[in-house]
Amino acid sequence: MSDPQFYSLNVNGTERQVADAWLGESLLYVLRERLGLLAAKGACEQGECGSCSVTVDGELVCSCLVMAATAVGQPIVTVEGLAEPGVPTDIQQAYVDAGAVQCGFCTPGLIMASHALLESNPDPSELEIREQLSGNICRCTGYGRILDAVQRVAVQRRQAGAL
Amino acid sequence: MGHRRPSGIVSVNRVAELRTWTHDRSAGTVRLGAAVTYAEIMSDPLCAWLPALAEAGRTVGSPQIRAAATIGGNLATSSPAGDGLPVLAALDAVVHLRSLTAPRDVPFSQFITGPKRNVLQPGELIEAVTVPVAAGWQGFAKVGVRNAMVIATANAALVVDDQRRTVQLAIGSVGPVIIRCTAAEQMAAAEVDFAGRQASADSVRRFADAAAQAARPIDDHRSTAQYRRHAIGVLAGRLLRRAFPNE
Repeated sequence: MSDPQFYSLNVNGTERQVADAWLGESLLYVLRERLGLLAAKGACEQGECGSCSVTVDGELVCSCLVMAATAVGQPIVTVEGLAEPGVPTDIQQAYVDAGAVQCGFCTPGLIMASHALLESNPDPSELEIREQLSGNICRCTGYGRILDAVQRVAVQRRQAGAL
Repeated sequence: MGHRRPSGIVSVNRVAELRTWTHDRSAGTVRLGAAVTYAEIMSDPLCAWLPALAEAGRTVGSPQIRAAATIGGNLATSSPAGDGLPVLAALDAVVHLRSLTAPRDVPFSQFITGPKRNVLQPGELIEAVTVPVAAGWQGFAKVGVRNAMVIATANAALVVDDQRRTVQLAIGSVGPVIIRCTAAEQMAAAEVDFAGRQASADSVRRFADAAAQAARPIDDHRSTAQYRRHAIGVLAGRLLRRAFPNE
């Protein structure tokens, strides 16, 4: 066992100290168990389900597959960092409006993936949405309402831009 | 993670030299640093030089996985089902290894020695892989239980070089290592019309049979040997037809 490690992570715009951690801990574990940020969910812990999706330096990744210590010095964003409490993003609101949330366990990961999708591709086809969200498993909705939510936001953003 | 608790860890995935690629126009090659991700390989400009590798990359995991998954990781894992590996095999890529002593270059065909086994020695790491840019059609095909997030039941890469008049086929998930189908390759090169992009139905059928014969599949939790042998023949025939669409 190595000496206890101290390092800091930039999470949602704030430098957070991580103390007494084993160096091999996953980013998911550190976010949840050491920093108390519970939005990223742990389910499969092997990159299959996408429930733990966050962005590291702007890239959407499964936080269960990222060693936390390798993310030092790179901005990390979780769902907690997308918006102030009580003020949902347009994507979060669309998930509510479309009924795309049932049990809610997959939702934080899907919200992160939807944000990443619409940032890189503001006008995705249904096939592109399916491909881009293929790393996020939802066992409740059957995905139809999730596709609907993402499409609603794409249309809303286009209309807002056109005004 | 958590299987082992080493006393120290060296993270190499942010070493700039490993994350870099270079295109050598005169040599006709792209050198990919080991930490170049599949997300980068699928994007401009790498996807234009290495279209089959980009195609294979698009079938690796999910967008989240491809943002983290590297070509060096695919090589080091040496899984018989690694999706990038048939492409590297079909293109005769060269793996560059580095250690405290002498660097060495290993042809892809000699790099993997068995399922999840390779020639890497303790203290040695993969620095880069050099991949030829082929002048001709190339493509990747894969079958699995679904489209997204799937480990291949069978996968294959076909590379045509119109100048050297060669057809190169490598198959994966159907043996302990990636297999080059030399009998199928020689048969196709002798029978197809490179200029007219033409192959007879008979040539395609016998190419598929030769690929199936080259396979050394096993039964496991993912599929049966019989299905894998059938599937690899279908994929090989499909790839040859895409490369030579005229009958």
